[in-house]
Amino acid sequence: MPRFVLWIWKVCAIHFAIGMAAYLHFLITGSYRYVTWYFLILGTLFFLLTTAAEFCLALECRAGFEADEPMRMAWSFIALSSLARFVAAAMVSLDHWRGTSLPADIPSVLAVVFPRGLAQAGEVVGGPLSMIFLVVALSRVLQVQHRFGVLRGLTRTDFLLIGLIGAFTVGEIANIVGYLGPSYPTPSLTKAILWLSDPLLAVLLVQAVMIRRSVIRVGLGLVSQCWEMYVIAIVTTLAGDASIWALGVGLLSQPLIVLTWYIWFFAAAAYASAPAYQLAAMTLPHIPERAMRRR
Amino acid sequence: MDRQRALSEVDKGLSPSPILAVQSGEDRGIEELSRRMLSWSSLWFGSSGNCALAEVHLVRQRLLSWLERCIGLEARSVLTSRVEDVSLATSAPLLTAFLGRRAMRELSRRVLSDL
Repeated sequence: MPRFVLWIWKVCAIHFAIGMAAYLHFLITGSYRYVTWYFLILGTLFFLLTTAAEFCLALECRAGFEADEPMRMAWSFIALSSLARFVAAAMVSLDHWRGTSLPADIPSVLAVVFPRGLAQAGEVVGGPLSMIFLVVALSRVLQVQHRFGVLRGLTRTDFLLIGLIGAFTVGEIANIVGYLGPSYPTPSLTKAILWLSDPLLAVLLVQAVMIRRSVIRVGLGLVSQCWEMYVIAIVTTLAGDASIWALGVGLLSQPLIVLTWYIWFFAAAAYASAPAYQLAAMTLPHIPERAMRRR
Repeated sequence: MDRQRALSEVDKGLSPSPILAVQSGEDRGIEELSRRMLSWSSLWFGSSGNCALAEVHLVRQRLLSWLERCIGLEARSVLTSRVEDVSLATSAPLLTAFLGRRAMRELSRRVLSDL
């Protein structure tokens, strides 16, 4: 396993272990105290760290390709997507601290500096905007894979999955159109943009199905593991999204609701690991034979 | 008589031997260059016709190892159905597309080192 990937998952494992300790405390005592601290401080730090790492690694990958190479554009958009998620994590956390008052009911300095609605803007930047960047990047990757015959061999199950996702997207779009009717109030711009999250996630899922097939075709290697990580990240994001939906319709008990919040850490770690694999593949030929044997 | 002798001496001095030497040197140079070109072309295209079979085999083995490590264990099957067809010519486009030109230059250097 490449060094950076190992680091990312080690940090994720330690972070998760601390989170589980906080969760156990919550289960035993019923108090949200430590769980809240964990998600607000360590959780935010983890998101900032992983998205920053992903951004830097994606920039390094981009630099490995020359201007006329097709994968350069893909890595430019992946870098933009990770930057959007980093900015979103920063905005959401700043909004939280903006709302926190000092003991004597004196408003926080951040409340004066930062405008209201920072969290909603963060949701837009980290949600639909970062997804659009990722869709563009993965489209380019699929285009290159198709050109080299890597993308052949989609099975019936793949087509069935793509069909199901397509049907789900059409249903979602029909729902959105329904909400635009005269019986509903006009949605705010932020809300309208956030509605795009599910259709965009569906597009990402279709891309993930296709990329997964290409990964199966070429077998495990550093580059294929990079794309496999994106598949894992997208599927984990879907799981997180599904848990939000389940929460909305009241399907989850309180302990389960808290447990679903941990899903997002795995998605963030998978997103950060992907460029780390690509960078490992690109730097491997530069590593001396002796050092490679030692690994 | 003296003049004739002198002329024959001059003729001897102007004998074509240095020109021939240059020409044969050029021929050898061209032959060497042509041999090398054929040898590199064999290594590039993976045919063993004009090159030592061992060298072509070594290049193929190294390429397969790089393809497996960098792209995927089954990456070879994407390029060609036969292992014997794996060469720098067949694998360079795929490796360049996914690793970039700079990494591919270094990879080619590693594949062709000591040959």
